[in-house]
Amino acid sequence: MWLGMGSNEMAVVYVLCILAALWCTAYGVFFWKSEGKPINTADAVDWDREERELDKGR
Amino acid sequence: MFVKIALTMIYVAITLYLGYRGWKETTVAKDYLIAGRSMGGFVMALSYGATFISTSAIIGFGGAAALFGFSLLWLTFLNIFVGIFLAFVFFGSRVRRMGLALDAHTFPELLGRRYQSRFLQGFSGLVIFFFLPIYAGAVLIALARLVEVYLGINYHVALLGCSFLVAAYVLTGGIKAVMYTDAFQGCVMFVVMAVFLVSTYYMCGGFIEAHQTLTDMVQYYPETLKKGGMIGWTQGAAFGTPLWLTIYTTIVLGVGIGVLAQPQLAVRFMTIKSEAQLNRGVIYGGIFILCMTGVAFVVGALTNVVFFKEYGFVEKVVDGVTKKIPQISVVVAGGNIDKIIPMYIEKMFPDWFSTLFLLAMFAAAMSTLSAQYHAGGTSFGRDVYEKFLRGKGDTLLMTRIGVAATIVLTALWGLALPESIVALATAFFFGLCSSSFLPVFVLGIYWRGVTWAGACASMVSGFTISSLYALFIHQKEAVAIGLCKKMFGVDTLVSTYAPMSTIWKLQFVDQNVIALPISFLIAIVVSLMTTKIDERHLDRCWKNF
Repeated sequence: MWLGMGSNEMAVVYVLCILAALWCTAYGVFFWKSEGKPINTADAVDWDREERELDKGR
Repeated sequence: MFVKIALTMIYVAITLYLGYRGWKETTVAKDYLIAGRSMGGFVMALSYGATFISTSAIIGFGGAAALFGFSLLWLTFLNIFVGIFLAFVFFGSRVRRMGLALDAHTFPELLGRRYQSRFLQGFSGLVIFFFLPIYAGAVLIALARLVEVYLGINYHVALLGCSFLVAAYVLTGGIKAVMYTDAFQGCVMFVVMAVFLVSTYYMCGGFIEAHQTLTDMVQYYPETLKKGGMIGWTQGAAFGTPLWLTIYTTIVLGVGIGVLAQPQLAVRFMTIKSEAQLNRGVIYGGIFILCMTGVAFVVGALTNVVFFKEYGFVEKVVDGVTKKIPQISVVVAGGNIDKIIPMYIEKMFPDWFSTLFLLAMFAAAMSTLSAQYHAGGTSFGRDVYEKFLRGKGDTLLMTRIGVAATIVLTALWGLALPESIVALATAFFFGLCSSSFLPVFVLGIYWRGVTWAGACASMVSGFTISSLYALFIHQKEAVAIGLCKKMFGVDTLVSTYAPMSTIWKLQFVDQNVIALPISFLIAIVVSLMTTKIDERHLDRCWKNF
């Protein structure tokens, strides 16, 4: 057994937790400035008005 | 005592100052509900993490780790990988983008507008408003007990005092105040837990040495747990045994997956100002959660080593025979696992650290409680009153009235609930949210084919199955609530079956394992059989993807 654990499963999960946090760190660093697809601000909808019209339709 | 009061006053002063800053920056409903979509990655991630981690995650689950050992680290892995990475990258981004496209201000509003359904917004708002205060009440109980022990204040005074303190900044400053104070409270928690971990390994004689000692102590592992299927602290549980089912379904799956559909967490994604900030939040969130649940579970398990090194064996006369009792954590705490971490702090650490640790626990409870107040209040004011019931009035005012109602409801639950309910209420609410909201939420942001009827059928059936399962089959809730016993004269409907049979084992299986797949299946099947949502509406929902 490694890491002083009594089973391989416990050693694996201990390492997995640290790797998961490192994975999150690597992801954040790699995509530090990534903005993805630009937000489409055109065709804005008045959702409150639309909801009222939907209610009338029903 | 002077240092204790001084540190508490500094902590409260900083919290109230940040609440005041939130209030100064809150002018319109959009600020109060989603922070004007202007939050940075650091504040958002710490707020998400501090909301996620309450006192029960550290004291309750830390105590459970003293029993179940390192097997609870599967929950930490899921908390980081599912609760942070998958949640931020695969849910957070799409929630933010769809939230912008639909101009949604709350989690129920996102669902309501996605499916063009007032019913979905109202139903999910009602579920949150009525059931979130039970979970919040449990957190409030833990917080009030801490204040009672720490400052020697009467429990009921502490309960009402804590309610007023958190209410002061949630009512006035909305989610900006909540997130600013969360970030500060998260920093306090992070520093204290880091010191906690290093000190414990030092007391155990080093990293490998600590684990090896715990491995060698397997001969002292409680017999009752061995009968349930556990092997040891560093050996885990035997596959398929009742305790294996409890650990891997209730604790790991129930809480690990349940986090994805928590309304008070999902709304955080709508507050972030850009995709880049969300990506940066993944870093802070992953490290924060590792330092919270990871440390709590590792230290919880290692308390056995520290206590045994310190106290060794104590001779006791049992039935006329003198026996040597090994002083492992559960023995030192007199069988109450909720006392293990507090006793460990009290007996093994200097006073200054005890004070800091208790402040960190205040921070953990207050950050969770403030988010619950806000989510419950917005559900009532915005989703139920304004949108579902079509009530008239200013959104900001109605939401504040909703928050006030949630605070009162939480205080009433806090006064009514038994103290032992904390972990149970947490698991119950997580399970209810998963089976009611998760299929509708996931399919809503990933599948254009899910229909209004499919979403409604899934949400109602998920809620119903999860509730009935908790009331009549899952042992933990069924026994605590006692309705099954009153109606049918048995603890659970499956406990009369042959022991160790598959049906008998269902009482140890979390409701999520049953209700969640069924509600997913119902959403898909009903959607394939019913009228599709208008393509023009779907194009608008999807316009930022």
